[in-house]
Amino acid sequence: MDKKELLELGVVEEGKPKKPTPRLPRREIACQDPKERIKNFNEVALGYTLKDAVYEAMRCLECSKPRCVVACPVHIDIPSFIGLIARGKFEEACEDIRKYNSLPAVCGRVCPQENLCEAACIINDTNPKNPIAIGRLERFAADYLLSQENGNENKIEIRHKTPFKVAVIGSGPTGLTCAAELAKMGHTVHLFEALHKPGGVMMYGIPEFRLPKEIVQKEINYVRSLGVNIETNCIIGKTIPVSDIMNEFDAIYIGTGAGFPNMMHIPGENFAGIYSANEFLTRVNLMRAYEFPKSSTPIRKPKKGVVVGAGFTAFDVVRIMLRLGADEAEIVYRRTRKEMPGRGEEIEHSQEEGAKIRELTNPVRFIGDENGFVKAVEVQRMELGEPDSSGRRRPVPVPDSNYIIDTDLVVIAIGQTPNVLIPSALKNLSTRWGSVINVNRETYMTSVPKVFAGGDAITGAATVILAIRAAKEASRGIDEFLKDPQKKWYPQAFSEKK
Amino acid sequence: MELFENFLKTNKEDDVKREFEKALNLEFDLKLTLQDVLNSISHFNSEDNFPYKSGIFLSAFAFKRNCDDVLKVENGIEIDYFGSFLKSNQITVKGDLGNFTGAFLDGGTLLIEGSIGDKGGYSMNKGKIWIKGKAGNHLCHFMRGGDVLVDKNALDFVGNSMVGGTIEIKGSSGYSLGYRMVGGEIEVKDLSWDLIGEEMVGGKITVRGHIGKELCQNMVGGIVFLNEEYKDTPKGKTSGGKVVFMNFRKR
Repeated sequence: MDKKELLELGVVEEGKPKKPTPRLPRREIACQDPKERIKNFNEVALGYTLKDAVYEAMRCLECSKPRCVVACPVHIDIPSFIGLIARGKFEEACEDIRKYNSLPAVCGRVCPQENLCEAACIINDTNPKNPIAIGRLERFAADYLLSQENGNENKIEIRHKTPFKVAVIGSGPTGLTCAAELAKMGHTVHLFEALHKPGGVMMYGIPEFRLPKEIVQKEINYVRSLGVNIETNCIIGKTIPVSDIMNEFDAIYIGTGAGFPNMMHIPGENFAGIYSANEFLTRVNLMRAYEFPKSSTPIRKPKKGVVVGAGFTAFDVVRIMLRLGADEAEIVYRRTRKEMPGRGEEIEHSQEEGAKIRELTNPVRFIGDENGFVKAVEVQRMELGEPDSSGRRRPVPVPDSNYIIDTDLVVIAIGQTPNVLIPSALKNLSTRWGSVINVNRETYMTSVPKVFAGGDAITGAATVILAIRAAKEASRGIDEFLKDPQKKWYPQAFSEKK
Repeated sequence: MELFENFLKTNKEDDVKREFEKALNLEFDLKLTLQDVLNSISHFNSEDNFPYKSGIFLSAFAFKRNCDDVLKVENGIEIDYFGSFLKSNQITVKGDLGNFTGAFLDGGTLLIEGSIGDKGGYSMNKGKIWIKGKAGNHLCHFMRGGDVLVDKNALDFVGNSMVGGTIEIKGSSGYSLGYRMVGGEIEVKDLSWDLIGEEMVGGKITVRGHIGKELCQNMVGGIVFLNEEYKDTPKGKTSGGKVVFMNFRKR
């Protein structure tokens, strides 16, 4: 941008950047009108304009001891990229983020910033509930670069090309990040994806109105431009035997995520019209069932939908139900709103769109009609007891408080666990709870030599940003292992113990 | 410098102590200063082993020379393991250092007027490290004694498995503070994010500012002092130890 344009935007005054303006209110993001958006699957939040972004960036104090950086799981240098936006250097701002995070446009949209960097922002101390909109600025910088010609191409020169080959299994956020980091380190990376499109949960799990698939594909193109070879329709352990992968590659990273749905195991769960959240979201997001019959995948369009659970996935499902034409869609949750793991912004958006939340309620059985379709769900009232091991108050059933809710579509969104395919295909792989892989927390190496793992496969279902963090740390572990496979990780500490 | 060139070509020992002993056997010209040595070897910067070998080489030189010194490190020069095994001298570094700065420190003082990379103060025994910038991940992993002071922020895993010594961070610290800590003291003046005192066995942690989630999970022993403004933060499952919320401002 030239100086005249920057002056018009108010970035500089007589050649100098303006002073920070933290006392001003936080700039809100433009969104589609709730009445309009429940009729389409287009993105809800429309993003900042140049002027909005510069206004918001100028609120940042650019602290010398930035709390936001330590609260960010991947430690993006937040004041640095916001400073670049405030000075009108939008492309450089995104390149700055990409040093730490290869998927900025995704994280700017789906990361729970209000519980991470924005919660730690120092402006909260003096101007409560008005932290810098870090996520929105991250999204703005990424979108700006991706909208430019060659914006999704790598501009970093990879200096040292090593002779090592690494296989990355799974092309979700953790797989893509690990592949990108390893490629930047000079290793040859092959990424294997079971589905026909790369992107993992970003393609099949997160709906179009929250994360457009075009953006995901642009981010994947950036990873491709680093030299990563992506192979789709390839299931390790089925299409390619694990032994072949073990022989061909110097290291393997498992980033298969948590794609196996948890079910409630209550009577009537097998009636038609009861979906797991994974199936429902895959049909809608990846297979575009909402366009049926234009697309080949059908979906049951509800009149009154019920979603069990109150996490990120549950809110996505309830909003999809409304977009499919449901007269009513409600969330049934056994705790209260305070304990909900869903993202604040998503909860607000879903309520604007007409979703209802039934707190302190838990299903006990499903009731079907004579054709085997679900027609109602029997629920029980709950109350909160003492905190459990997660720190949240434990829900306790209230005796004789059952009642019936009529419904024609139920989606169970009570979490996912990792798929058992990889753990069962790899001998001697140490796991817990059946499918969650155990790793060394320093190196991310599993119990099988040269096999590493990260993301939801080692933690159970979590957020995109935590998966990215695990991938970054694991890529360092893989790099150290490749350069020195015989290395004792803690030489002196171990030898002295002997 | 021919001495360094030969050292750079030698096989990399997997044990840092053996590498250091190998460097100690070199015949250094002790009339030179640390700065002279760095200037003469810095053109090898593009070599793969440079960060590891240069750090050990400079540490061995400083150990043998055994007098106070000042070193200016230009941007773009990566030095790991600087200050390893030092015993008595005080070295001031102007610029940033890489990973394992002050690892296995056994005395003396390292004053760093810049930032350091990951695993600073790794397994140190005695001595002092004062970092005027920020510290990377795994600060003072396996620390057994000595003092570390960070003027700005430290990132994740501060004091992981530490046994003794003190760490003071004037800014904030990231995820995991005092994981599996057995002894010693950590004080963070500002925010410390998730996972404070996870699986902690002994020692003392003080956080004066904002705290994150997953507090004191599976804690067995030790004591954690936190700001009473955050006393509603849910605590994880513990089987010992103590968590005390107090008003730091009044004190």
